[in-house]
Amino acid sequence: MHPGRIFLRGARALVWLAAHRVPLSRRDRFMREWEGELTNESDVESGWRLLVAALGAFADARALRTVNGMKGGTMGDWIQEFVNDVRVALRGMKRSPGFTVTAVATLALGLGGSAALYSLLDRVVIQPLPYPQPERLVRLSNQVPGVGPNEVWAMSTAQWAFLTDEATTLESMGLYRGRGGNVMTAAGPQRVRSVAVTASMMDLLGMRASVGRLISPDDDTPAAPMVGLISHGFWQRVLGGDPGVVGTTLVYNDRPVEIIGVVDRGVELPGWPVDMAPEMWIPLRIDRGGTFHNNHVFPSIARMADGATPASVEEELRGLTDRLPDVFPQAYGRRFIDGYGFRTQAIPLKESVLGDLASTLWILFGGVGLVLLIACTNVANLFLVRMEGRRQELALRGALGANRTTLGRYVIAEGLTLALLGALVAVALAYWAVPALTVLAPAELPRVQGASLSVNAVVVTFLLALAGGLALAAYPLFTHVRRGGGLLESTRSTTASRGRQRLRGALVVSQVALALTLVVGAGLLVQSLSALRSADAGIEAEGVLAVDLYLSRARHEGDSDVWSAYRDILNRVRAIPGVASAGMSEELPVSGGFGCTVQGFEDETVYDVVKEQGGTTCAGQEATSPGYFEAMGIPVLEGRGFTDQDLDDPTRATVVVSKAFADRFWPGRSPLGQGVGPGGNTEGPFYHVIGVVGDVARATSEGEAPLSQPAMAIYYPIQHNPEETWNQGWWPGAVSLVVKSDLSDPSSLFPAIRQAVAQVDPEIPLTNLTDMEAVVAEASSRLAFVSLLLAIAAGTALLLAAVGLYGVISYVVSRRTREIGMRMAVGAQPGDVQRMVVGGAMSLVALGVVMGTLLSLASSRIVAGLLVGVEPTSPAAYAAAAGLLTLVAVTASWIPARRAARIDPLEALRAE
Amino acid sequence: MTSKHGGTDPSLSYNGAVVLQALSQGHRYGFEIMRAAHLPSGTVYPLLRRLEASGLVASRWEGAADARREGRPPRRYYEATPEGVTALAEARERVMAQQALFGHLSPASEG
Repeated sequence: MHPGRIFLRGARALVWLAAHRVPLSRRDRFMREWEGELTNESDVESGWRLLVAALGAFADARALRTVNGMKGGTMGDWIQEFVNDVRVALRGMKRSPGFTVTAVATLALGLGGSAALYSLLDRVVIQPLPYPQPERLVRLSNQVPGVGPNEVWAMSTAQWAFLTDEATTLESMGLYRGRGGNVMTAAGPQRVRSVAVTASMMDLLGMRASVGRLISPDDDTPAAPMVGLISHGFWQRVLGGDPGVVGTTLVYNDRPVEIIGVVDRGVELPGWPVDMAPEMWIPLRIDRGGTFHNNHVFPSIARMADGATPASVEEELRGLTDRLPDVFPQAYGRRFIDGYGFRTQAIPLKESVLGDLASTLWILFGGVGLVLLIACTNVANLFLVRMEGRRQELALRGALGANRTTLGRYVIAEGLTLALLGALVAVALAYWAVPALTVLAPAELPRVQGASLSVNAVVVTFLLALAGGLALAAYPLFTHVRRGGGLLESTRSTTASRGRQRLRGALVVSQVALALTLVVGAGLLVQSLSALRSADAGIEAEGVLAVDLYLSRARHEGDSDVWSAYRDILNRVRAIPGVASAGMSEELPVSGGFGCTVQGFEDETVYDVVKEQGGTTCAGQEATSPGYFEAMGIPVLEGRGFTDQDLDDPTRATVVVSKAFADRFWPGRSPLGQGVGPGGNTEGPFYHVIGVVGDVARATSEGEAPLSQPAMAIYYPIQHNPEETWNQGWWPGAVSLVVKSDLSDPSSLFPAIRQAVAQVDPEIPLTNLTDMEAVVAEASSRLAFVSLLLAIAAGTALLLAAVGLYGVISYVVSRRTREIGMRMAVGAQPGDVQRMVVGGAMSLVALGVVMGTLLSLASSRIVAGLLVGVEPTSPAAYAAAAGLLTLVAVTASWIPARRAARIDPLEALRAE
Repeated sequence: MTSKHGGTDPSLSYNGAVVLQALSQGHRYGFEIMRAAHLPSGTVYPLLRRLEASGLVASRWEGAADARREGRPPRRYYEATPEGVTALAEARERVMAQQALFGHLSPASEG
């Protein structure tokens, strides 16, 4: 090169460096001014002079700052410099699109997943409930350890009457109870979702009326005329949005109810799915002067007094509960309160609404976080390789006087630019993914529906990206920049430094370990899901339809009339072509809770058995019709099921029990002929056991794995609902009509069923048409949702780990081309080379698998709560995960290994 | 406008005067002035900035066509403003007076 050009280049480099001390707004002009000064000098002497002149650029830059009244090194200045670095970094990325696209896409996957999950977390867990002063709201309920370890009862009217008068830690307390009602409309009988509430609920939920007024305490007394609020949806859908609706009367459960207002949209009952929101609100009208029962059927929420805490509320309620037997001797015996350990608990409302959903979402967020970590290690690897290729550039900059701060700032700018680009793509991904997630999510998940990408999630994503970007820059920063990127070092290309090699190895090992953890977690969940799906619900769900129907009390008085209506319906339905069998039951298996109702026994020795085993005599008590066991596919194990004759004559008093029931109360004996009293009746007359049927799965309470527990059930004949005396407010009782069909599309029977019911009574509404297969699938829907998300996360992790391993092995192979060529030149076979490369990769993978196994074991307790029928340390899951990962790793390293085996020794040796 | 950086301050620095003098002799850009005045680059360039900021010197870009003809980037040309010419005249008088003074003390320097 012409010596003059060398000097010119040096001078330009100096000016370029000096320009970095000039504020950005003036930098371009500064550079142009100096360009004009630097003329191409032909001889060495004037060349030197040019170089010396260029040194003046630094003094000039300083002068420029002082003349313009700018101090050097201000924050603003620094940011301007930084922005410029970002611009340079962007230009650099544009020049290597392969690297940029891979890195940004990888980061976007990790960050996008985090953003989507965080949006859900934010909406469901972090955002406060939509009620006034939500932090002061608690749910009150009763623990009854004497009945069962997880036994939780709702509140009673007696407790409400007592606590609203006495408890000072509670500012306000409300009861509610969801029920259904029949409403006669112009379009025929309609079933409405209604809720009976105390007037205090209006204020507790922050309800507003868009038309008319809310329920006042004056409405909420037994003497007051019946009034009701309707929902906006009901008003529009059923009443056509009639503006004069307030003051009109609706016939609700055969009684006139005056409509006093329309509830504003967006009012939710805590824990109720949005699509199940009440359509009608009526006052509970509890009679404070009347007799109270031990009727724990009312969910309750309360607002704590200023300064009270759930603990202080529980403390006060302990003392008050102790007084219940004195105040309500007819409802609460001293033996019950003390003997059963009855106590009232106050749980923050949000905690109670979310149940274990919060922890489930955090687990998923953790899974996505692992994917993000893997993505970051992948990009770190790419970044490292890229920086390696640019060591000469960095070294040159250092030699030209760029100080560590400048170089460091530049490297950080590159890392951050990459991460922020990733974050932008991630936000776009999440914007699309969050609504998709809410569609996939089972409807029973509270607060999930309607979630969208939240602002907080965007902020979190960018914070994560910021951290990720700094982490990316950290390694080059501490190696290349700190050492000043010596020029000497940059010439050593064949022997890449051991440290960097080790770091790359460590990155691969950690990727494999993290991916294994996710694959193990996903594997355990999928195993649980399949266990759950194949779990014997005790029924044959195929081809079984169920539909709810409600008899009007006014039109069907008395047991015999109810039974004759039911029998009539059943006979007409059975006559429909395609119907194999039909029956009725109060609750469906799997979706029904069955409850636990105390049973009395004719044979007193049963009580000795119970005493010996512990617990109580309560069991799920169901009212069932003939044909039900057959239609539902519940096997009769001993004796027989109900016949019409059993029900036609109520004095026959027959009853059927489940196997679990028989095993518990009459171990080693035949239960046939034994006498049982519903509701704990020990006086008689008793119902005598005519048959034993198989156990069925029941719906479970919070925290229990669904389908995991067979119900201990006792089936009473439907004509005589033993619960009726307890459930005055519940009439008409809901029953599910269950139809077994041998048609390929059972739901095509529905019109015929509707017609058959209408022939018996045209005022019976039919609702909740469903098929049992859907009911069974729904029971595992939450686990299916979590499994799906975790499986996606694990799949992504696996893919990223494979890409990471592939990248590293490819890089190693390319760096060792010469060495491999040499080996082949002296006789190594392609197979040897392949084995060498794959073997090298496998030692990393093996280490990763070991570490991942340890990590999984350590974190298995976190997912343990979600598992059903699988131990969190299931060797099968671990072995499968390790096998899968190894397989993927072998494939990923085999491709570069094959390339290595094809190296032409002559080419390779010539290349360097 | 602070006295430190010149302005209408009558006490134009010696180097400032030298740069103005070089400009008045027809040297038009930094590198040229550096060579003519035998001043280091670290002095000349900041001085030009300050003189311009205090209005004694004005600058303009060389025409792009002219620069292209010579096969180099356009230069920034400087020239003294009327105020600069006045300031230079004052400075020159001062320097002359000082030289006269030094001449009396040390005749040998006048050769």
